[in-house]
Amino acid sequence: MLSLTINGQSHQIDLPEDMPLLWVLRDHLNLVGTKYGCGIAQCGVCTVHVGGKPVRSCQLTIGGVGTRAVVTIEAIGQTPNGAKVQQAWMEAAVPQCGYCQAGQIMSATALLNFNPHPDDSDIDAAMAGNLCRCGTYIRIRQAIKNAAAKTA
Amino acid sequence: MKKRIGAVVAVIVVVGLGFAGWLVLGRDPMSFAGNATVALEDYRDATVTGAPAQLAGAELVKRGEYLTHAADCQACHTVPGGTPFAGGFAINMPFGTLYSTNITPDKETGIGTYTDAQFLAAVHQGIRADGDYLYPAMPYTSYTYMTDADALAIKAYLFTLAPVHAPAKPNQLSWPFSQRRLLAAWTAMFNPDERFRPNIGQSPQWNRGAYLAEAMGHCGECHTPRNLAYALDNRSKFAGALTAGWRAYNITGDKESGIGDWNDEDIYLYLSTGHASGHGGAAGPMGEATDDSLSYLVPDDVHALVSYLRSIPAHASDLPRTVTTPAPPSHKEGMPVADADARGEKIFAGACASCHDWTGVSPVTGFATLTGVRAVNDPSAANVAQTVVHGVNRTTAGGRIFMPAFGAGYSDDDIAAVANYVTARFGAKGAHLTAKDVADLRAQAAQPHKEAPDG
Amino acid sequence: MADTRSSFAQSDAYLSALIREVRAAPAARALPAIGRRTLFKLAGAGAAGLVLGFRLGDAAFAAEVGNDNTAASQSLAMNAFIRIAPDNTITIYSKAPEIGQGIKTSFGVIIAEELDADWNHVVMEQADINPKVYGYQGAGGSTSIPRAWDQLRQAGAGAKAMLIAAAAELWGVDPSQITAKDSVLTHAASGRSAPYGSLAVAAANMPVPDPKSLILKTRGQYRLIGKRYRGVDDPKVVSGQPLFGIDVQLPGMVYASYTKCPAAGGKVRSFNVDEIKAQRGVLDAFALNGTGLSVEVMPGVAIIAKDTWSAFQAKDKLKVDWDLSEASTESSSQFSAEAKKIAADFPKKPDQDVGDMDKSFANAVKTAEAYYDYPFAAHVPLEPMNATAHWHDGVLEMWVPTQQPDRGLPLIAKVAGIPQENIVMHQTRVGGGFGRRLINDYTCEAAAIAQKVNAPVKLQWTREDDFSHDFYRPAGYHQFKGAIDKDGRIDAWQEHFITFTADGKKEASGANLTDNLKYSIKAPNLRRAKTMFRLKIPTGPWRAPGDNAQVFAAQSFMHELSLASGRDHVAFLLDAVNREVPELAPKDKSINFSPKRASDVIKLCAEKAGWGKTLPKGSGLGLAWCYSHAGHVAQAVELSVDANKRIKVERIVVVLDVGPVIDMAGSEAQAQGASTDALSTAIGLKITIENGRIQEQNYNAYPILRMPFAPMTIEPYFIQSDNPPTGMGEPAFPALAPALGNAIFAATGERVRRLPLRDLGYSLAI
Ligand code: FES
Ligand code: FES
Repeated sequence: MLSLTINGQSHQIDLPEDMPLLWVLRDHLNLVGTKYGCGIAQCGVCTVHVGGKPVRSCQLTIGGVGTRAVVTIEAIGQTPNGAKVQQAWMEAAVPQCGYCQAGQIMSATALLNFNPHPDDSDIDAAMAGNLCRCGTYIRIRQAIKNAAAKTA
Repeated sequence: MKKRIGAVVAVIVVVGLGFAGWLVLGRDPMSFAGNATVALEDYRDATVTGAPAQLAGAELVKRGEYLTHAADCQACHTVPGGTPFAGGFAINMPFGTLYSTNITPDKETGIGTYTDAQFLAAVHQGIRADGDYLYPAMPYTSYTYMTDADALAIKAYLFTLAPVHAPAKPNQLSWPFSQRRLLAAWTAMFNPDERFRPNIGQSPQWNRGAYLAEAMGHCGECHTPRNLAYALDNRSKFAGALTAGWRAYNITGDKESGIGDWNDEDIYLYLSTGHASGHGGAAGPMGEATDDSLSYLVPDDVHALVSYLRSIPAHASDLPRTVTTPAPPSHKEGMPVADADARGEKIFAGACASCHDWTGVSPVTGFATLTGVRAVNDPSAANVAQTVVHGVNRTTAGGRIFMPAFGAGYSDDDIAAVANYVTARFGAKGAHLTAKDVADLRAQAAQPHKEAPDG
Repeated sequence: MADTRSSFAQSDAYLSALIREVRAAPAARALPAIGRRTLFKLAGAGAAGLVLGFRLGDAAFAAEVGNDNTAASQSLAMNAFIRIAPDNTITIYSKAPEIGQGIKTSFGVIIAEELDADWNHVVMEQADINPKVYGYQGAGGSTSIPRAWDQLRQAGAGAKAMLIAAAAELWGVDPSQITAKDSVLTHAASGRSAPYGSLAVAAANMPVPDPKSLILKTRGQYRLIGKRYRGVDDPKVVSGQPLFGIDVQLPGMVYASYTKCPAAGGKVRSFNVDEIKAQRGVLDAFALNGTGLSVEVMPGVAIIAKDTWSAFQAKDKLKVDWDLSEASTESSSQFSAEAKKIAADFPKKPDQDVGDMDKSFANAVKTAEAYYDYPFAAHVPLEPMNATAHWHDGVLEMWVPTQQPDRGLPLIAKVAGIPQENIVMHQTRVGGGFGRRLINDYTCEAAAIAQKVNAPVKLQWTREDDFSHDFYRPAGYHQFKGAIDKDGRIDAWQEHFITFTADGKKEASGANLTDNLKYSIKAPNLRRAKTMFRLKIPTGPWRAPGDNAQVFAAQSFMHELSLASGRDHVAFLLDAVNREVPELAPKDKSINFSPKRASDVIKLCAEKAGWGKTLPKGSGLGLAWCYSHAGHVAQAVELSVDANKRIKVERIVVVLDVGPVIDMAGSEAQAQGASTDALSTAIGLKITIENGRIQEQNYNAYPILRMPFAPMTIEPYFIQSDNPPTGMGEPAFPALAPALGNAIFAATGERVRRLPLRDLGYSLAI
């Protein structure tokens, strides 16, 4: 039995320790906002925050989470930067198919938490691991800047 | 024709010179421990050859299976993803490509017709059933130390395998290396052709380790530098060498460039699982060695190897001291601007940072931590580049160690850039690989493509 | 979490009931009283306000991808539903799949425009699948908008007319004196006004107007069309609410993986069933023979597990003894070598032979010859293929992220051996289409698996499955020869196209030469022929099918010819626009080529790109254009190339004429997204086949452009007109690669005749 703290709630989980967090979230906790795209840490759609860092949940086993708190896209809007980023995303009409966007938003929010005023190279460093097959990069970059501009 | 004769003379001279120097100091892989050796039958302290005590009562075939793992026959005699022991694995040498052969008991294409004596001749002397010499890519200069009983136990095991019809692929060697006859001379000079002699000045555990490392595991074949004649130069035993495009590291006791500052537990873990926290993991040929061989050894045997390794004289190689502190969390900090490969940084950001982190300490799994990893501290970046090209896919007792292979999707230029960046950011000194260097490394390690998985 | 389940499980009970009712109605033929082109309303609408269904006989847009209009969809096409609730909420059901092209937003805008609805009160919902009710419900070929344009506008205008009629009766005034705006009706003379919601019930009892009597707005009257919108689902997208097929969760649901032979066409002999069943979390494992058709169900092994991870883990352990006797042993490198060998031998029997080719070449002032090729490509949208199916009580209920649910319906019925009426299909949002989801193989697989499982089951492909079992963009090889006359115009164009066939008769899906040439290259002497290689690996439509690579070859060679002619490239292109295109039958609205619109996009693109300006050494400007998927498009790329063949894309200009733009933000997104996709594909993407097996298995080997390398300056311009609007999903793709190649030539003098550029040593600079 493992204890995981997800979106501020503690969950007792009776699943194998080597199961990636992604599938525990999606199939066992009904938190389907975190997506599956590649399973090899190359697309970023499964990004969640673990101990404040953006982490690919397809690679992180639940045994490896430890005591670190997990935050997913479903709850990121309850954080100041998360809400700002979601707002900026809608204002800039970023999503196309939208499938990558939960992961993009998680990476962008982590970036702003770490660096409230990122420049282009900071944005590259934080966002390059998130693929967008639809090609929404221009608006993602803009939306991050807009969100940052609203950061005091 | 003149040119050819010239080349032959050159080869003979080089081989001769190599031999002369080597005879004096480099021939015996265990001489560093002193000359207090006795014939095996005169050694009474313990049983240091054969299968471990746990298997003492087991059938011959079971023991043979263990020894086959210990001698790591499978890694070379199997194409990645192919049928084990059916051969066809390409071994790239500076002078061409050799293909390993089928050692399943197929009568036509394998070793099904080998008698015990023929098998021993192959293992100890590098002479195959038809009397021709084997290329020393088959490590018979190490296996020569194996006891007859152990070699025949291996044979017994191999003969229980399903025969596979797999004709040998023709080697692609440049002249004069394509001339097998020259091998007779090479073998006469460089193969001691003698069985293991325990050292009574050392502990039984050490002797067991020596037998496993030399006669079975043939560690030196990769880790010991070679002389001009391509024979192991034991004067710098285990001091590291580039083999098949991968760097086999210095595993002597040198604190800076060897494993002198690893504790026993780290070495034990690395050998048995292919990963030791803070030191990184095995990939490439060492990954195969752990997966196919070392991970099968019983704990006592791994401890024996540790004890043997600990006794190897320290020999400094030119690797800088390993950096063990993580890089800063911001991509903008932490490395001298001169070393910053801007392109490498962008590629790292996209393909690597999500697992390895900008600090080098993975938030995902210890297996992906770069800080303190030998390969990352090797300014030749050979193993970093190879790992990027080939990825890692190993299942160990500690879990799955996985990294995607980027060789197909990324150019040599990109791989050079990211290897340079990684060594500069997380290691002691940034590499300066070029696209051409990466192409060369790829060529040395080239293997037939693994077939797409079952689905 | 409960609503995660219920939102999908229950769908909209009311709408489902409605659909059932319509479905029970006799077919059109048997119901002459209703007749064609009649709007009619459905009974039982009162409680929820006005609910309208529209029955329109003629498909608004006849030509469709694959051209397989079923009799049913021709004769009885119902389209959008509008629901107006007493609280003023207007619910609009979007019948077509949202795959990222923004259709759910655009459809709403079109209806709301004619309805004069307050956009802030519009809620967009996804309609379920029923071709009898809705007619065509696909999303492909950039045809959703043109097909639905008239229907949707009539839907909006018709509903408005009924609201007005209700108000007129209530207020005792003439309907013509009532105006509508922002969901409010006003009678100016009496100062009366009422919101739509208050009139909905009364409106539902009004007679349905004849669509012919409806006066639709003209472009100048638009209040909503052409503005910028955020996607109607964006609030859910950004907060991770369940939307996509992969998000479907049902009570008691189990999870499946399906493993097919890595070499197309292999069959299952046996597999390690006992070992698989013993794996952790595995509930069942069985082989399916399937129908043997790649668009339906190919043989494979299904593993049913308690969760996706367990299904994937067991899949890793799967050892299948494949019967490879009919499996593909093809290799892409062999095709390339063979094509190269035969390219110069022009086949004896041309498909087209106009004028006198030999004479033209004999008299030519200049000639040019070149060989172009490009590789197979995979779609790999970010949401891996999946579908959920529940087989219960003789009914197959399905949740499908597909581009062509209606096309899937008969296939699923066939695979499951049940009548279509026993299939209930819910469509989910789709995490990327690009043509991949025009094929319903994975939905058929889910259906076949569900019939063997006593629970709802979600089939989830791994990304590796997706790479291995795509319907690839076929590779292609073109040998061109052209002649220039004394005036510097094209006099002759000869093309030997080497392509693929699946059946030995006609080109494989997506492997036929498109019509682009007909419009963009007017040559008095024209000769075309093809050679086809047999191919077992399935191919299919891939964003802007055919054009996506053929335009690269043709427009690059056009640049070569323009250089040979010594004339300005733009002038040369304008000259070659075919002004003699025969008048087309008005029915075929998918072809709306206009030489003027073509010329205008080329000219505006040249102007916006600064054509003719002097650039520093190592920099270049390239331009190309195409008529693709009813869009007229020109693209220009400005770039520089350094000594290491690193390309710095400074700027991309995209000029489009797709008629009036419905949603400006969405259209710009498509223009930028398609350009980015095209650049990504041209630079680095290829699929390699070896011994019938796909070598690239995941994104590590298929380097889709990432942000640091993506172009950040892509300027879209739209020439808007009164022509009917056409789709935006595809047209901005094809001309990018030739514009890129032409710019590289301008910068370096080196001609790019092969994709991807990575194979020629090029890469993008940072
Ligand atoms: S699914 Fe985790 S990075 Fe792609
Ligand atoms: S919006 Fe479709 S993948 Fe990013």
